[in-house]
Formats: sequence, structure tokens, C-alpha cells
Amino acid sequence: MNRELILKGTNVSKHFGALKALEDVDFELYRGEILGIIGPNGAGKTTLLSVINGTLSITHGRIFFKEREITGLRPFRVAELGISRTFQIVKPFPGMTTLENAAIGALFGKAPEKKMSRAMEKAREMIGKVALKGKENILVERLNVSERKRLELARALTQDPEILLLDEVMAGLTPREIEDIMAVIQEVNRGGTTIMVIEHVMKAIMGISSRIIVLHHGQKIAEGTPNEITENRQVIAAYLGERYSKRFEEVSRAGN
Amino acid sequence: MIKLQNMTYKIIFLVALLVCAFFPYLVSGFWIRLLTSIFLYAILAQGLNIIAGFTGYASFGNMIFFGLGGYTVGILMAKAGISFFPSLVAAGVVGIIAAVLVGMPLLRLKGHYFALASLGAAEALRQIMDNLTGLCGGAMGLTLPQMAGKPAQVNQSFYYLTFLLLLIFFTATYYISKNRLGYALKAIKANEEAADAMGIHTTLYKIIAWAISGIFTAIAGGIHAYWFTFIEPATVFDVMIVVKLFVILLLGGAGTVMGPLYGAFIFEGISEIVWSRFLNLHMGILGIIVILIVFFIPNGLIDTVRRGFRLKTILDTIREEKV
Repeated sequence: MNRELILKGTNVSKHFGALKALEDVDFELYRGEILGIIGPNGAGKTTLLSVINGTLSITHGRIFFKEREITGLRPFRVAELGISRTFQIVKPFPGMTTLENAAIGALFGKAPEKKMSRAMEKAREMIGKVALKGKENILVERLNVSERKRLELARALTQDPEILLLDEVMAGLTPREIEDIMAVIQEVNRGGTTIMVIEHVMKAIMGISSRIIVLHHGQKIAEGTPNEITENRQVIAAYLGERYSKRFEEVSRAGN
Repeated sequence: MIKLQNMTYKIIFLVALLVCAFFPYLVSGFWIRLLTSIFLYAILAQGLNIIAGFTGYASFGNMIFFGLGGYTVGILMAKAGISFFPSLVAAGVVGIIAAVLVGMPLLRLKGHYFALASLGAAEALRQIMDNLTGLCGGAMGLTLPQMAGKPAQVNQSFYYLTFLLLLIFFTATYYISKNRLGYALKAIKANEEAADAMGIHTTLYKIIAWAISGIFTAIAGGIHAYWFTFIEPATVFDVMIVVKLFVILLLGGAGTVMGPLYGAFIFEGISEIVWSRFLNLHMGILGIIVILIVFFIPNGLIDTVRRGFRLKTILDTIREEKV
């Protein structure tokens, strides 16, 4: 299969003083795929997304978007190139309505919409897509957590990005809402958007990702298809501890 | 129902506009001067509103533009013999240049740091002007030529000039607030990190906002200088100017298009009625007003009235603000 490399990171590292939040992480993202990033709390997942989009500066390493190096670019430049993100701790624009929040996405970014009316139209469409219809004219302060998460997604979607970086858009949602969001993400992906997604909801990430990278203490400990990952001894050790992983091996050996 | 309300607002607005247009023919000189001064404050407050109200950057250094605008008009008229209107245009240009030059380093700072740094910049400029004796009279001040004509005519000219500029600047602000630029500024105020991630060149937009603020303020400064025919660093770079403007903004509602005008009316009203009777206490009363506003009506008087002036609503607002 001839796959186009769209995003590539080499030796990506981010240190906060003595803490190595990311250490020499290599990653590749191919056009059209959904790449899942998993790992225990504090593994460096959000840091990785922040270093890619420029919210955090990189300590060392290089990141390429297609042929172009984007290491150290300011976030707005990265967004203009076509990489949009959501934030784990949602960052809506208070004082503005749901519709205005989503419209900001359309007004700036890769293909900025100069006409207000068209930006609003696009925002309305995406708000409908994430099932927030009827909440357009409500101030974002009045939205609940689940609605804010979905607005965060809608705002990124109005930018029509080439790469979408999603940071735990499903956390705090009900199983039903998770299914709906999964469907939206898959639909967006089918529309041609490449997606990199951080998620704690295992069922969701295993279900939608074509490949998964596992981070632990800032390092990449595994990479592969969802099935390969669930059977990886190191991954089980990282999540559930050494003891459990040993027992898991014994059990599976006995089973064989 | 809503349509009717809209109609009522439009009618009130038109009547107010007509009254203002014929005002000088209706009342005496004192009232004309008072209204001119209200308009001038409204323009200055709108200038501050662009950077502080819309963009969320509390500039305590807007006297920079007020003073520079005044001195541009003063120097060009008194020393170079240029007439008023070209000088006023020059003042606007100086306002833009100053905002860009000071803004490039300062607007990288956030919150209190920006407020303090902008105040420091204004103070530094005051010291410089104090010592530029040759060009602008230094601390002794600068006298401008007077406008020709009878005092009544002069008053009327200043009234119409300020009124016209008020209309232009407020219309401009209205269009900004409804457009891409306004959305960028509001997004920066709401969450600068997210605005950046959404593709908004935050530094550039902040500088643009301060430049617009600079034009409004410098032009008002130029009018003020010609109107009073005398300026000195101690008065035009006085920090109390910007403190007053913040009170006006808080009264009228920061981040709204009409807020600065309402605020200027209320503030000047209070100052005329109360302060003339408490000459020695007026600064104390100003302080108390600021505290009361911040505590009880953080969204401004107009918003509070619109929501229905009930104690519960006010208390709710306070609680929300603190969350």
C-alpha cells in the first residue's frame, strides 16, 4: 500500500525543567488514517499534541507537515497550514454564544471565511453535526460539560482542517453521546480529514483507530494495530502494573 | 414584540440624534460645553474600550496617545503654523505610530503586567516631554493659537466637530464589533491560547486594536488641546484621565458599542451634580463609585438595568463572575 506521509516527528522531546514529559518520540501520520494515542495519566499525550500545534515550545526534535518543517511555528501559523486541535480542558470563548464560538473557527485558520454570513452558515452546519442544534444563541457559559466538548469539536471542524488533533473529546460523555461522537469522527475521517486522537475511553479508541501509539513516561513504548496493542505485554504493564502483566502472560500461555 | 422594541430603540436613537444636532440652538453655552466634554470623554472611553473592553488588555497608558495627539496639534499649529485640520490628521497618524511602537514590546505581556508596563511607558513619556523645553515648552507647557471668532461660535464649532467625530468613531466601532476583526478581539479577550490555536494572529490583532485605540485617543487629545489652547505634560499625561475612563467604561459596560457614551453621560452627570457640592471630597467619591461598581454591577449599569434591576440578578452576576 502506498501511503502518503502527512505528519512526521523525529526525536520529539519536551522537558519541563528536570521532568521529561516527552523524550525522543518518533511518530508518523499517514493521510486518511485515524491514529490513536493512548497511555496512562501523565504519559505525555497532551504534551505531544501541544508540541505539534505549537501551543508548547519544543525542547528538541523536528516536526514536518508534508514537506514543510513546522517545528517551533506559532499555533496560528500551524492552524493556517491546516492543522486544527481541540483542548482536553475545553477552552471556549466565554461572553459569546455557541454560534459565535463555532464561527470563530470558520473566520480564521486554513481557509478563512471573509464573509460573516457564510461563516455563520458553516458554524450552524457543524453545530448541527455535533447535535447542538437549538443551542446556537445560548452563551457558552450556560453549556454543560458534554455540550462544551462537542462545541470544541464543532469549532475545530469549521476550519475544515487537513489534520485534526483531538484531545479527549469523549471524556465525561455518556455512552450514547460517545457513540454519536465516534460516528461524527468517522464521518469526518471519511470526508478526507486525517485524525490524531487522544482518548481514555478504550472501547472508542480501539473502535475507530487504524493504528495506535502508546506513550508511557514520555516515551513511545508500543505502536501497532489495536489488536497488537491489546496483547502487548509492555502496554499491559504500563496500565495495570508488572504483576498483572506477568499473570496475563501466564494465563495466555496456559490457554495456548 | 421584539420588532416593536427594535422600532422603539430606533425612534429613541433618531430623536436623540436630532436633539444633539440642534442642541446649540436650544440651550446656553454652559450646556454646550458640558455636552462637548461628554462627547470627548465618550470618544476617549471608546478608544480605551477597543483595547480594554473588546480585547481584554487593560491599558493604563492611553494617556500616551492623548498627550501625543495634543502635542502634535500643539507643535504643528504653534511652531510650524499649520492649520488645525491637517494637524488633527497628523495627530491621528502619530497615535497609530505610537501604538505600534509601544505595542510591539508591551502587548506580549499579559494581565497586570501589561497594565503596569503601559502605565510606566506613559510616565516615561511624561518625563521626556517635561524636559523637551525647546520643542514643546517642557514642563511649562505649550500655548496654542486660539480659534478665530466669538466665544459662542467657537463653542459651537467644537461642539459640532466632537459630535461628528463621535458619530464616526462609534459607527466604526459598531462595524468592527460585527466583523472578523471584532471577533478576533473578543476571542483574544475570552481565551488567548485558544484564539491562537484557532489561527488568530494574536500579536498582530492586539497591535491593530491598540492602533485604533490610539487614533481615537490622539484625535480627542488634539481637539482637547485646541479647545483649551494650553497643554502641559502634567495634565495630558495625568493617570487620572485613564482612571476616569475606566470608571466610565465600567459604568456604561465594557466591551459594548454604546457603553462608553452611556458611561460618559452618567459620569459627567454625577460629576456636575455631586462634585460641584463636594469640591474637596470628589476624589473620595470617585473611589467609592469604583468600588461600588466593581462589587455590585461588574457588567455595567446599562446591562444591569436591561436585565431588570433586582437585587437577586445583581447577586447572581457577582456569583457568576467569581466562579
